[in-house]
Amino acid sequence: MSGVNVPAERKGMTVILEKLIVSASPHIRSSNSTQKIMLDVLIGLSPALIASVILFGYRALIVTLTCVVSSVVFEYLCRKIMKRDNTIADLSAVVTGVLLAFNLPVTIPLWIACIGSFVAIVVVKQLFGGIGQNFANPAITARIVLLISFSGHMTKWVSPFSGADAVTSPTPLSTGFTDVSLLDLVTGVHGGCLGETCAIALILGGVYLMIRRVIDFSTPLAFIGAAFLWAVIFDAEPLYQLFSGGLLLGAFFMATDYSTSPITRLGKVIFGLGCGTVTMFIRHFGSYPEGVSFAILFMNILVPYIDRATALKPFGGKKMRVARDIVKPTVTLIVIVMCISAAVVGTYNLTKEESTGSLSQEVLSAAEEMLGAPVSEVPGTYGETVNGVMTSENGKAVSVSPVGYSGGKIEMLVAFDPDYVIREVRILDISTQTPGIGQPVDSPEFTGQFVGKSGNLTAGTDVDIVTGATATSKGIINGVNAASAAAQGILDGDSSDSSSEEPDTTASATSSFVEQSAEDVLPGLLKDGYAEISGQFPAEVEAAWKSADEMLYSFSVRTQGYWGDIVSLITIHADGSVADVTVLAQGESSAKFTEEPLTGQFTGKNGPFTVGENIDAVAGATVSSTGLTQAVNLALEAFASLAE
Amino acid sequence: MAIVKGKRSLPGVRLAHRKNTQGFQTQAMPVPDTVKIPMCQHMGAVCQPLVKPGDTVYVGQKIGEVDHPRCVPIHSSVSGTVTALEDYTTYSGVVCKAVVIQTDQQQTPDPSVAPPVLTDKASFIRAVYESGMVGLGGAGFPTHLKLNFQEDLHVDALIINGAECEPYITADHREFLEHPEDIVEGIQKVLHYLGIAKAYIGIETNKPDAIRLMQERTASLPDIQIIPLCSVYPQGAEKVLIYAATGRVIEAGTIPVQAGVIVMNVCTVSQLNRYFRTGMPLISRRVTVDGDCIGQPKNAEVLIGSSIQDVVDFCGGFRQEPKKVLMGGPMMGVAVYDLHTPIIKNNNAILCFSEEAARIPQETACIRCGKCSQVCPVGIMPRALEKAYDAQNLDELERLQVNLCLNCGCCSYICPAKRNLAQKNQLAKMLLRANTKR
Repeated sequence: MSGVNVPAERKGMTVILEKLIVSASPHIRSSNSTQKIMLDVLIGLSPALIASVILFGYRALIVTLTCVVSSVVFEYLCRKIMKRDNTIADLSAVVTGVLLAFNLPVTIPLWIACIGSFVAIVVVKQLFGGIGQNFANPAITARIVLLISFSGHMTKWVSPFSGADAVTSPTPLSTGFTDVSLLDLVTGVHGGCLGETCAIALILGGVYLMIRRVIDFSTPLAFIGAAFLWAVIFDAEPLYQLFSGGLLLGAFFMATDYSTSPITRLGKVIFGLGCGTVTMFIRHFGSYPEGVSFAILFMNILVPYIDRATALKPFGGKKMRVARDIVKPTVTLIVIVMCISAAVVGTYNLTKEESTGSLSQEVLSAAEEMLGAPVSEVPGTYGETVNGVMTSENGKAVSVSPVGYSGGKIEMLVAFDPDYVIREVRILDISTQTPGIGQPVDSPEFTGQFVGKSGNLTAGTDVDIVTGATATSKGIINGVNAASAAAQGILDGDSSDSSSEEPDTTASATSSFVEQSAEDVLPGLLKDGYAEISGQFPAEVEAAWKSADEMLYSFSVRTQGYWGDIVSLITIHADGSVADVTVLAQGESSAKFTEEPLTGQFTGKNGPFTVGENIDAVAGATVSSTGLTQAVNLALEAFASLAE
Repeated sequence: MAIVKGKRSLPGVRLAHRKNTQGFQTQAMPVPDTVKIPMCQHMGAVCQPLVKPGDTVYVGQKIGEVDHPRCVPIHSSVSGTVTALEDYTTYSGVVCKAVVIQTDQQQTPDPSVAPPVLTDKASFIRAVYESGMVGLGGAGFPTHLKLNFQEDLHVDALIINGAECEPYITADHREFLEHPEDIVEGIQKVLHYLGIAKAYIGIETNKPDAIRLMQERTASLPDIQIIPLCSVYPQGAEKVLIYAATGRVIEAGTIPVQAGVIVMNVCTVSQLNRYFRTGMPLISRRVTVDGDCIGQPKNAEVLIGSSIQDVVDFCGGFRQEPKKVLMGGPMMGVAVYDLHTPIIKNNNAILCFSEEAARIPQETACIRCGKCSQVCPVGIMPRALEKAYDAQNLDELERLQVNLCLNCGCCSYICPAKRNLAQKNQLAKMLLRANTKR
């Protein structure tokens, strides 16, 4: 050192001498910094922030500020308590606050937003070592925690531009895109969380970040591309899927978070593909309309494996990954994805309601209880929604299974007074609806609204729907309406009138029936004279005649119909085939069974006849048709006995 | 002569070039009062002084040598009297002697100075040895060793490194503009005596006039090709340059000659030719003097052994008080603590920075952005290396192949958290070396 002894001062890795600084190369640095990167992210988020204020009002700003301030405060306090250096100047807490706010509905109570900040900053980030050390995305994890803990508050979305009179509305994902146009979807004019609705703003911000080289294009492109592809495969309106449910927010701003995504470009692509795939699987097979949050969290867990499997070969060096490094992560990846998918699909299928056949004892008992009298089932065919109609002396009860939220059926019973005024609405099974959101609709406050009403009811006008459970509420209202119609017999062309004991001509079939006696008909049938005969006939055969030339034999048979007896005249050829079937008297509600379509089926045949096998019953008049068929068989029996 | 565009480029960073002195003709520095010539100026063996205090020395006289295969002789750059043999420690920590000479301002050449006789490869190598030449690009590798490759190695490409990728430095650039004939002749001699088929001159595209000039000068020469290089640091790094010029990959643990390539700095080959012409060994060289503290930034022809202070005085002195003085460029240069440090053979720049220019922001937490891996020319992962080093995990350091590190500094440069990644890489290499020696 040429004997020069200069006073020196050590400062970390740098020695500062009296005059000159001596430090290791390189001696220059780029002008980039963590803070600048975070500022760029905030700039990228500002279009969405502005959009959220326009769409949801100034409260959006309040929620965002709450999240930001609480995030910063929590980070400061946490670092102080942990005796670490203060890091709030790098603005990462601000970014986390804004991202968290974007995942909340504008109606969220501020104290819940603060809890979200706590989870994101303290639990997910600081307890793992601070920035760059966390493996899970802070804002996403906080959203999931809040969704599970405060599901009611977290799903209380409002329509944009509602202002003070916020009208609750579901997000398009839960209503199946029926009430949102594509333009509305793109500009964000629909219900949803603060920052996830306005697609244009999110895309603008994302492109800005890509131009500024803050994020790489690979993850967003892979994410969106995979989601689009699966939407096409599942035939689930790809464009709508893309623009809804926070997919763009997730793809551009969450999945690109540095510390929770892979390092190499290939790794980022795989990460994005995985996120898109899991998102669409959850949306398609599961009951949650939201898959983005869970997808990103699952992929976060796999990042170390992805990094290992996509490590690059250094220039002039050895390969960094061996077969073990690729096989193990791939197998792990596949196993995890399969397990998740199986769990989601399995849960969905187990809770799916099977459509019921004939009414169960449980339903009958419940109906009896509701009507306060024994019930009997009224046979008939109904539409998909109505399972069956029961009647009693106090009125009718209808079992219906309307579709509620996301395709799930709700089992319910509606009891009516004799004049079709609703006595009671009872929900038997609502388990297919979302716990905490749809299921609470089964409450006296809601079902009690129907009592005393009649006719077709409209949601909003006649009956108030439950906030945040529009689909479930509407499903139940639909069910009540279908029950009313079935009870009154106005359903699917089925005209079997089960509302009164007496034959009601006004509700009966279009054809008219004229009662007649055998003497009226016989001359027409047995033209050249006839004579009465007797024999060992079945009890139902009340009288018999034969024609003068002994070629035709007629029998008057009394069989049971639905409402009473049917008296019919069955005429048989000498060779045993049926010549004619004429109904003389009946008290059924529909006279259709007396006409050609049924009666003509017997002509020329020898029998015996069985409804459903060689005889087609008249739709809606099965019992009547069966009664007539029985009469023909009995007549044949009687004829056979003559021959003996 | 076809121009091959250097399309193959390894990753790196785009730096502000700051080539403030590229338009200035080189000026010869006046002879200082004293010079101090260290006996170790290269990556070779430490020489022993051949003179003692009181001896008279002349310009070009051999004053240091040692009987060792990796020795390069050291010659006096001035005429005068030896006043002392001081102890000296180089900035890389090598302890040696330094010959201090009081100059007589005469610059009388030594009588032994005469152009060498070149007949064959052996005589050629011998001549290169006697010239005292080392790599003038900054590394200082003994040139005669580099050129004296084994017979069984088939070398078919000579690459002339004219990249000069560091900011500020324009020494190589001026060499192209001021001595194109020496460059071309020198190349031709090397090709001839070593039996190498082709030469490639790599020049970064930020020196269009140099590219144009060299293209003209080599238009009629089929065995010399000009290769424009993209101006991404560190195109001048040996492995990077070879890949850009020829596409060949130098595997870890091997040297370029095993891939059939030899790389020489343009100043080295040019000075070599001057030696062949005049017989005067390496006693002076061009140094770029720049930085916001220098009064008159310029390229100066500096006598070996002149002190930094002497050079600065020649360049208009200090405009403001310097806080950091670098020998070399801002990316790989060495910070000196004493302005009396002498200029040696492989110094190509003196940069003097004020406090603001020298300030490095404080290190903050890694945000795992991955930029360090993205810019690394050899594709290793500085962030992972840092973690492994902090944990003193030798296996992990080996697995991450830290020995591939070029020490180019791109990782530290680009890091938004201002982490000292390149430094940690160096420490990691040393740790590995120390532990594998056992």
